[in-house]
Amino acid sequence: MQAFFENEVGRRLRAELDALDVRTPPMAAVRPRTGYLRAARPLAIALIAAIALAALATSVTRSPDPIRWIQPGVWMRAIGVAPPQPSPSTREDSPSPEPSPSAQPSERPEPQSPEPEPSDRPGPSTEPRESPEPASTRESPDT
Amino acid sequence: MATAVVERAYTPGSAADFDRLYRLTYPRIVRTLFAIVGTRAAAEDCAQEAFTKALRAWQTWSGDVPAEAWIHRIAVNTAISHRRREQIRALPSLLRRLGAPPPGRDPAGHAEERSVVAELRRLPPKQAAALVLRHYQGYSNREIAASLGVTERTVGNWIAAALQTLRSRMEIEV
Repeated sequence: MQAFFENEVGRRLRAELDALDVRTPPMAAVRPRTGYLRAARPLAIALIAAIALAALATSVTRSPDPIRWIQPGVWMRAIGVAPPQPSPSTREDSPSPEPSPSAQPSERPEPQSPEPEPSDRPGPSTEPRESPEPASTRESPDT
Repeated sequence: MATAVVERAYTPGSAADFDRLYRLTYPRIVRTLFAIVGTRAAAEDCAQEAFTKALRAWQTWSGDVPAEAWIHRIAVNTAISHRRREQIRALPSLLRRLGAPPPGRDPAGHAEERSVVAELRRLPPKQAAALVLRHYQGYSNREIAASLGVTERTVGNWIAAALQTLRSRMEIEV
């Protein structure tokens, strides 16, 4: 009885599956899909990363202009961090007054200071103020 | 023995050999998958997915398992994954039906359920795969074991369990 049932199941299974008309699609249906996906994945990741970066830069700098994104100090100001202090040469051009010259006397010269002491009394000064000296050396060759 | 000679002719990584394997096995793979997943469209999708996976791994096919059995293993695993996804998708409707009275049997549905393929779809996929490989592909239990990566004893148990379930459901017809 068991063998009969097993044979009957096998016979009917073959009949049902053989009735299925299967046509083999061309191999290209299998092959190019993988190559296309493999090539597209890194491109898609790079595109998504570029869009995310541009969106971040636009929102932080509040400007859609890429030139603005790469200007020095823009990102620091946008996120609330003070930009690094400019060099002394650029400081001379800025007209902003110095808040406390006594706090950092040696590092912050005052070229526009109206005090005439350094030129009048160059020798006995114990303070490390050296700002007037370049002016006096500049004047000597001219005169 | 003749099969072994043919199998040795395949070279891992050879595009021409994979093309030949594809042409020789595609219809049989689709029929095997049809018996497991139950619909032609799903069987063709699974077959394409299985051959895509096989093509990716063709370089690493070691040859210790015949190429056709290797393809069958990939295809059966793909069909099992498909059945799992299908069960997960069907879970919400199953939960909605809980507690509701069972639907009446309509004659058309009853006729559909009489087919062996429809009954195979209600079996666990590994049991269905073992039964199809045994009774449609004509594999021995040893070949099925090599194809599915299990022991011969496990294959024998799966086939016996599948036949017992089918017998309880199809007793009227036999």
